[in-house]
Amino acid sequence: MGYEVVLTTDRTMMTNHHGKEFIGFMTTGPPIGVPEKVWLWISAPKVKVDREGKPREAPYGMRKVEAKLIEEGFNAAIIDPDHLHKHLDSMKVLMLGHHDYFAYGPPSSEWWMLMGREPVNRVSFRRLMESPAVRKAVEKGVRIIAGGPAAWQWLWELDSWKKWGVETVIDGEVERIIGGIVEKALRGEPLPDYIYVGPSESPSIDEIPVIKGASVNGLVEIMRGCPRGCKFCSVTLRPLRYMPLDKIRAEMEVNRKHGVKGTIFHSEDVLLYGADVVRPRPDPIFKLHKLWYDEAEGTLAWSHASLAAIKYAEEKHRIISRLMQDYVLTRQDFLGVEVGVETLSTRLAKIIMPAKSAPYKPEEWPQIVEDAFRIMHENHIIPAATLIVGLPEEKPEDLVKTTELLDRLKPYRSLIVPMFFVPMGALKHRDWFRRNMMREEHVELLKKCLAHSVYWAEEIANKMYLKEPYLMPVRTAVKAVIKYIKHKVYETMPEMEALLRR
Amino acid sequence: MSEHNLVIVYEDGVPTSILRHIYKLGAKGYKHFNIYVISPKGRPHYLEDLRSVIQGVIAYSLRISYAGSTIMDLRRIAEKLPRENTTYILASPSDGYREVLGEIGAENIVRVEV
Ligand code: SF4
Repeated sequence: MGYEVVLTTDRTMMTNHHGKEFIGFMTTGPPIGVPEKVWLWISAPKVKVDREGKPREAPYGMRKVEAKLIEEGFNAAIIDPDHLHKHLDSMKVLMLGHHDYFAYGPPSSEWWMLMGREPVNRVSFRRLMESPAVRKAVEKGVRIIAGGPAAWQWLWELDSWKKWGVETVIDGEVERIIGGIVEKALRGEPLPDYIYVGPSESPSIDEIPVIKGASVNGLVEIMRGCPRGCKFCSVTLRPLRYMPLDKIRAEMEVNRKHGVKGTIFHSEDVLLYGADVVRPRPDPIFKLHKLWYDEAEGTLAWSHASLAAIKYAEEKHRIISRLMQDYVLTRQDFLGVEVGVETLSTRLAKIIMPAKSAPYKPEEWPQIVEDAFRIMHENHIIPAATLIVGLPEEKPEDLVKTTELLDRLKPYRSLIVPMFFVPMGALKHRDWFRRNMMREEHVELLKKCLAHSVYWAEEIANKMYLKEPYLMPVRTAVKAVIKYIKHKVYETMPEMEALLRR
Repeated sequence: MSEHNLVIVYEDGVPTSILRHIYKLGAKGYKHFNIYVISPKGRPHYLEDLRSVIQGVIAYSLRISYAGSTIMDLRRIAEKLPRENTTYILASPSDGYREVLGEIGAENIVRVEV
């Protein structure tokens, strides 16, 4: 017994981060202050598996592909990377998925540049591809297909592509086409080298299957697409699809049945579920959260929300405070979410993201950010916020403005992570980056973000996070790592500043 | 779905002007391109020169395959593809490619400067 089509990924993805998504951020950095094994134990513990090596929880995107293949009659399953050897006799196609195969995405690339060492997700993926099981599979002629949101990164790793025997890379929403590709692979027919699934091949809601096994930390997709219409964004070109409540309920049920109690609503912007374009509407949002409240046993998190939607939702309809009071805070102390601040310079906001502030004007961006942070703080929502620095359009005055305005966010419980826009190829040369891109204003901004995030990270770790008794060792380790990072980064700052002065 | 075949021949880099030709075909209603590449770089390294094309064509579906490196390889792929639904983009200074396409009666040939 074994599977013909096996889906897998490396340990940094095949894990539930102890049930705490924020800890997953650690998999995007190099080990700091502790050996890699300990770093991985904190950030990416092994998941429970059955006798065949099928994990209890697996990344959501891979669950969707698995479900589609099973529905189309393929003998397919997700297998934990430590158990691939059990399927070597039956395996004919090996499918890989990842959020960040080579650590070229944010925030891995920032960690890599600043610390000058490869992040563990990159190291761990390489280890998987060079493992005896994968090598053996390639020797036997198993056909390897790589996909997922980081598929594009293979275009910058062509030597690895060749060395590891990858045959096809697929980028995009695959539900409509994956059956045909796997069918061809099983029949031994040639496959294209690179597939980009464009908007015209986007699956309809009916073509998107319900997952068959649990997703990591109970992630459930509530919508696909984004109505904001930013330039150069492939998401916004695709049709906007709101998952019906029945479908969401069915996936929550699958998670619960497999012992995963928590729920993460996933969308580019959770508050735009059922919205009037970019204006959140109370009815769909309340129905969605009532569903969670009635049917789920565990806690809730949102994957992403936009600051403009947070402000509008609260100021227009009191959606945030009602949601938190009536539902979320009756079960948990806070709700985590990722948000994009990107810049606090109005000039730059107008150039790089004119649609992000809608329904407000781009000129109002700094005020939108501050209002949204206040609303979140008052309602116990903890954002992990990103700033984008180093864009070609950026001027020193934009950095100064952002650094100044960050003071206004000081009182609000949040983590703020600057992300550097780096030309590909520069990543492996830390000094190149420091010499050519880093300005004095960047260092100032980094210092401010660090002070803000360390202050709040300690506060959150002490009072709100990892409170469960069985997570005590993890909490201790996380706190020690925060302390060490604080110490280490302050230690390297003078070196960085000296380099800039030179 | 309206598909179109593109055969791209290059030796040393692909000019981004190729994007213009793809957009023009897109404006005619094609939403899906099967791209066949003739390049001396081999599989998968030929993709290095196509990165900006891939990242610039987010509105259309792409299937990209390597089709070889020689004039004979071009002849082989051109003989398989339908005449009226295929465009050949030559980003190579060598005349041999054009001649072979002329011999088999290929119709839509675009020459781009590298
Ligand atoms: S907000 Fe994000 S996902 Fe939406 S269109 Fe803009 S870049 Fe794309």
